[in-house]
Amino acid sequence: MSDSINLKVPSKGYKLFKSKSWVVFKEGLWHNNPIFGMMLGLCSTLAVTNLMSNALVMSLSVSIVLIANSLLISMLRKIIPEKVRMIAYMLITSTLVITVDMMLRIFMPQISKALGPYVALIITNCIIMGRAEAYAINNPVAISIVDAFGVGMGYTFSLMIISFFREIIGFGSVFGIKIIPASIQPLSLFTIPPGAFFALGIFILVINTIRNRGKEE
Amino acid sequence: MKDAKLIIFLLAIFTICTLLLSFAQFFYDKASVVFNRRLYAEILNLYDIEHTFATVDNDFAESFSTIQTGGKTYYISENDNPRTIGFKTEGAGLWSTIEIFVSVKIEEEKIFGLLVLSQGETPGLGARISEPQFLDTFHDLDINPEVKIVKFSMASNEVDAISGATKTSSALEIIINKGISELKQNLDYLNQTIEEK
Repeated sequence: MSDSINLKVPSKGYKLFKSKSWVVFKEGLWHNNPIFGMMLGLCSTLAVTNLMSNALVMSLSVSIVLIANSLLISMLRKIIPEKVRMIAYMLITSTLVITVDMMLRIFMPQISKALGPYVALIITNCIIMGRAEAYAINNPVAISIVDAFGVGMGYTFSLMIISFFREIIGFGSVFGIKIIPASIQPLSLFTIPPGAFFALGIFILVINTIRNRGKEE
Repeated sequence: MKDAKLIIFLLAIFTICTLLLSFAQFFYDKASVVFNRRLYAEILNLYDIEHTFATVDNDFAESFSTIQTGGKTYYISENDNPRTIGFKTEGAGLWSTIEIFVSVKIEEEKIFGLLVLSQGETPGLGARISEPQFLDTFHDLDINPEVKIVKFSMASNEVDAISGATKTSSALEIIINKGISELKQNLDYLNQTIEEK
């Protein structure tokens, strides 16, 4: 997961777009997007993208945990002994995830029920572990947060696009609001897990075609 | 020396994380009163008892008494006409855990009402078990020898299944019957406790 981090500094543009933060942010959002770049965390992606509201809550939960986790690990990077760094990641992540899970259960009971075990399983989400090991452990606090924010937004962006198409094809609605008239029968294949594979596969195909355009020349 | 540093670090991080989680659990327990409130509100709706969400605890306590036995909480209506015992039960559906509330008329041995508290079945098919049109068919259903959800209901202990949702319907049938058989086992104890009160 770490081998593909080669920062490309753009040659022209505004000052913001030349800054290191922007490069790191864009890296997570586009070049190393967790879904179609690094192909991490796909299991929960398949499970939670049936409705846009579920996908939004899940991706925000992952982003919050990711940012807080990177912040803490980056802060502790000088005192975490190398031998036990994995245990340290797991402990910090678990604490954060359990807290987020409890908050969801109290404030959003419906969505928490719909997400089922997937919120608790953020603990084992490879995106979190990946960013901790590949970035936060070696970099200062501020830039680690930017990196986590970029990856979190990349995850949110991918989940929102997949769930938009799954919901509008499967239920004919967007965020629960009916868009397609009831006379058109929705294709309920896209609401069930097998449909998720089709949606994810098509999404990765389309986005990687766009991403690789012009690279062969 | 190196090992000592390692052990101190691990002990420190374990302690901090455990403390933080204990705090989180403490606040969660305090906040989890709202879960009971949501259940109470739904039960009061089922019995058509007027209530407001702010006073739901009191409204519920006025109309129901609770007895805990066999790992389950039974809600006994204070109103004797008809005398009903309700309980919450859950089981595996086709895709999800289905949580239901069943209330049974004890003397007539019929179902008073059924509520689906939570489910995540196929939208448009299995998920229709939460629709009132389907739940209303359970009213006054015989619970002897057991509840059946079938294609064409003929007997007084049968209701029509949802077409296209055979698996969910039969899962619901199993969950209801499991709950009722537990109620039958606990019935003697419950009756005894009610009379003592």
